[in-house]
Amino acid sequence: MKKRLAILLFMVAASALLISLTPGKPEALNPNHQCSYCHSVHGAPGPQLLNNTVVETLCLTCHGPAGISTLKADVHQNDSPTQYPAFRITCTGCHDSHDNRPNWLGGTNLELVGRSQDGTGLAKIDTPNSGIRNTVFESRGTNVGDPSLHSFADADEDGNGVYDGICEVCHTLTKFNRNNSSGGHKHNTGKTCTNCHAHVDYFLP
Amino acid sequence: MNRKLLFAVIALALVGYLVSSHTLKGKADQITEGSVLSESTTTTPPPELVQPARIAASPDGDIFVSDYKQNLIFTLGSDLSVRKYFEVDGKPLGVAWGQGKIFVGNETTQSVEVYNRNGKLLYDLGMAVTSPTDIAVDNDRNMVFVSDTQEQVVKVFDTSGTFLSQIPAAGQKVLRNPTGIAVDPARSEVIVSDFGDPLKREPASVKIYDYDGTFRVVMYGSTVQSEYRFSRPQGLALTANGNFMVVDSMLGEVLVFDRNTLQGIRSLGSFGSAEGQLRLPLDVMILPESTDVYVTDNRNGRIDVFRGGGTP
Repeated sequence: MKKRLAILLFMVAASALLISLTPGKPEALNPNHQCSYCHSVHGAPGPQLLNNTVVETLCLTCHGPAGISTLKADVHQNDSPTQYPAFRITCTGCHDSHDNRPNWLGGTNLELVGRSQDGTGLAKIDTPNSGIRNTVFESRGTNVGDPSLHSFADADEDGNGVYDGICEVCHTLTKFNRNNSSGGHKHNTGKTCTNCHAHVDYFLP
Repeated sequence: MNRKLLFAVIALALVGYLVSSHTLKGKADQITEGSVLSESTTTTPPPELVQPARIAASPDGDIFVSDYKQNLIFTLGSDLSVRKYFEVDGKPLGVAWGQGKIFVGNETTQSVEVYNRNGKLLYDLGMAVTSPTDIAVDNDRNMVFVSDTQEQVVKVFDTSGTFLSQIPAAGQKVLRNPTGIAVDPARSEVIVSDFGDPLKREPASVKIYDYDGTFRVVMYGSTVQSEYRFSRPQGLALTANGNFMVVDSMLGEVLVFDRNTLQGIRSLGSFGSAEGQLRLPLDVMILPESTDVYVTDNRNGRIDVFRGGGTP
């Protein structure tokens, strides 16, 4: 009996240690995301006790068609290349499923936007062709009554020379709202980009 | 004389118009009425499935599939050839066939719309359904069952749109996050897949009620035999002997359960993209004559057919 108890205690301690050492440890889990939505202690097929080997599928069981979340989403994808090359950015390209991260300006991002990329713990995006960049997303934009500052694409409203909105941070080829001062920055600046570029429709027009 | 000439010209124009419109209608037995988007022609190839969600069939073998990405309802043959398609003004989810009509759950308009098989919108069920995730019809009893995920109930209508009741009835075991639905007319049962709710410490399940909303039995995905466990149950289908299939959208499997013992019998598919594998499957349907099983394979953008997989 004592032997079994000791084994049990050892297993609990080992599990706790494993979790504490795992990157992205859920010390401040987003309240809408319960651990068991994505992880199983027993028999999980994916790494890090994930319920699926492909994280995108895991996310879309709730956020995809017929999923139970009202926040319907899809990948950011251009599968019919025109003037832009084909690309495909999956969920974890922009989101940290565990929590909203602090950003480089001292605030905290919304909607799980930005991931810890380099050990600083700050919300950043590993962009396709601009390296790892800070992103700030504290407002859903003026269409929903939020401020324009620090929304999807605010055209450097705070004047610090960094185009760090979540829609701006990657773009270098688009006509508008690039991650630098080139191109146009007056296309619906500060508005709610997803009103026209819906998340569920690949963010395309 | 001039007047006669004018009449002759008008008459000729009228005849010409009638001939041309008849030709158009007769050109394809593939539709053309009401809100039909397009036909399969040589100049415009028919669209292909991109994101199939729900699936249903008519007794004469037409298969109906909702495409969530393209806002389309496809009519397919049993060989998966595209026979027709029509556009829905919004994101279509649940689809079912009953009383010679196609019932479509429109997530955007939060309603259940009723179309004829040519894609003409006839009417809607007249009552808001916040998220009409899945639909089942008891054709003989003229009843339509709609799984409303956000309102956490199944709403029951007659096929003309009159609201009848909701499931579960008051005081019965609640639904947490209902998704897929099927009905068993022989048992007067409604079978509902339910994601459960970790906050309420309730795991995913399949719950069964009678038509009046009285709870009969629940099967939890976490306590069935280990090889049949599930966590994201979606669409359901009945085999000829009353057993049921449920799709697990997480693990990419179709699980078959004995209705009486609630024990797993067999499974179809596995997670992945290779032949016979599924990524985010959302619904399942059995063609009675062939017992072939059709599964909407959302992320792979296709329908997978398991020949004879629906044998009782």
